[in-house]
Amino acid sequence: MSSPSTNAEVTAADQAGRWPLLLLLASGLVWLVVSGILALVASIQLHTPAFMADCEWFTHGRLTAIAETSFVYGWAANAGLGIALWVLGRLGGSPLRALNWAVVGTLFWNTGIALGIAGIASGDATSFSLLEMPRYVQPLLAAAYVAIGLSGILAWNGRRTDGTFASQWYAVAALFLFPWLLIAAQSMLLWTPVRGVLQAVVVGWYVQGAFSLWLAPLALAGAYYVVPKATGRALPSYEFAPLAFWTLLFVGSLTGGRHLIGGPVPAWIPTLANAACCMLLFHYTVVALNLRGAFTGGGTALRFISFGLAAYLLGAVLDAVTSFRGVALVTQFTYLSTAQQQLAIYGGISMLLFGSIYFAVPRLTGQAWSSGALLKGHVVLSMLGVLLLVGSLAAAGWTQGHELNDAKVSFADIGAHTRPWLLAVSVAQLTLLLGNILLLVNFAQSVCAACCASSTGAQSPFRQPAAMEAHAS
Amino acid sequence: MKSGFFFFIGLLVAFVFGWGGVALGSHKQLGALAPFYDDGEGSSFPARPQGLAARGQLVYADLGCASCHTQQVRRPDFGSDKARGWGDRQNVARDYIYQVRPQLGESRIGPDLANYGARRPAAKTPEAERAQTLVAYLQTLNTTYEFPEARPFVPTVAAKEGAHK
Repeated sequence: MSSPSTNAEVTAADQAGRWPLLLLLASGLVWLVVSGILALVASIQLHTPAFMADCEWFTHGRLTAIAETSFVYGWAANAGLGIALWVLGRLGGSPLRALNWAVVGTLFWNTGIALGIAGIASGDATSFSLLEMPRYVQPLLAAAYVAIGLSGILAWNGRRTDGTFASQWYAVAALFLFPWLLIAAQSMLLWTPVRGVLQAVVVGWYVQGAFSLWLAPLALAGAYYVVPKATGRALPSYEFAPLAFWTLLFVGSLTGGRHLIGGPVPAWIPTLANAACCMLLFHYTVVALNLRGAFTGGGTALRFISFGLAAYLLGAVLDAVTSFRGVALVTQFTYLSTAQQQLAIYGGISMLLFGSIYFAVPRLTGQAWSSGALLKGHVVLSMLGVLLLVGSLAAAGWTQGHELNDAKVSFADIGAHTRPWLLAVSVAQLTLLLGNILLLVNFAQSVCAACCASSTGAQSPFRQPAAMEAHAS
Repeated sequence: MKSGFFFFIGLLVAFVFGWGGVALGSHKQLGALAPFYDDGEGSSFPARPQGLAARGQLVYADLGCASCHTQQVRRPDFGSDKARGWGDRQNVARDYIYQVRPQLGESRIGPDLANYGARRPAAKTPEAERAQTLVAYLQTLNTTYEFPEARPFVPTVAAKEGAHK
């Protein structure tokens, strides 16, 4: 399985970017396991509140903040950046430049997250969703991100091909826009805070912006690259892809106000979010049309991408449905919102990234994955885990939402009725954690094997895909 | 898409569209919201939080209390907020203008706390200093003053019939 090789599938861009990109992916996978452990403890606290509650560092509020931070900024950002740079390097037609900046940026980015998490644990959390890290690490994070992204932007500007591809647009958008987004949010919330409920409005905009302008584009960059490569077919309905891209960028961040329905904000904010959620369905429809080939193809990468795609689309429909006031009456403030969030960032973003990682790593290391058994284990555990996690959170939320609306049902009763589902959530978190440990072990073994084999050469274990994405336009 | 320059301009325009529309737009509308001066009572509302309570809010924020408790009462005909005794009127933006870190919250694993102080909970003074500030903060949570904009909209008879004035 792990025969050393240099082969036709490994391009010059892969060889040049091998270690910097593997560093990004490795950091992402380590954070994924860390966040899995924290999320497991936090989920146990939901049904057994006394668990580790005496330790101030691990109160439920802080733990959820740390788990979310390490998942989004640790796992999704590192892995997404690795995939985005890899895609831009390959499609740019020449090896990535400024990779030393990317390596330094990666080190500072991860140092920043570690400091930020220590800050949250010791009581400096900001209490803004997705921006919980204290403000003393925020400028470092913005600077580190720019340093990592620089390499991708140079690859885009120096590309040798005439046409461009959807995966490039999404990757460049994520690299270029996130620093603006982060700096704008920091300024309005941490450095010169806006007053009163405006903070909630800005947080809503930032959280949604981070999804629509950053995480989703990172994940889609990989998916738009891998699907045509792995299926060997051009993307259908590709002429609509630019419209889908610009719809996401223009309309995506307007949907942030959907969490403020009935809240102390002007009514136009949730109403605008409602309209924007419905408009955004166009983006999702086109993505589904473009990438539908993933559902028919085989292989680990496509299996993850088709799962991720289904979750991404289902998440969009749920966002649109729950942004209506009549539905939000039941779903607002419940575990159902958590279920939607997990469906989007775990079911959607992470699974798409897993797919891209399974496709990219063998081409970066020049070797097949070291263990097929670990790989299969990860597929099964992560898919089961996501289904169980989202399903049981949704069931808990549905019960909770209906009972909250009945003033006769006490919180003790609601707690008792949701408890079985919350136990299932803990099982799901454990399943996901085990799956992700398998992936980390498999990744470490593959990279070590590549390390040992990098001086020797042999035959290619890969087939040459029949078509490249270049045929798509 | 071939021109890199216009592509980046397009990205920036898309970013500013969302930022300007949501963040700056609402700031334009609410950024200068003033307290309401009541001649009858001779004071303005909302009241500024006192020192101990203001510190308590920071404790509330750093412990992440908002991950289980909201501080936003919805209008009486939307959900069971009034029936559960959380507040007779919906919260409005003016309630929060003096709060350094408004804790609206997104999850109701526990009850809403926007009027916790108004419910006059039995006060046991804890020993730890941080806990004292937290209790002081919770006891000041009171958004019962009837702002004009918080009253439910009741259409007049003339408006119901579609008459013009």
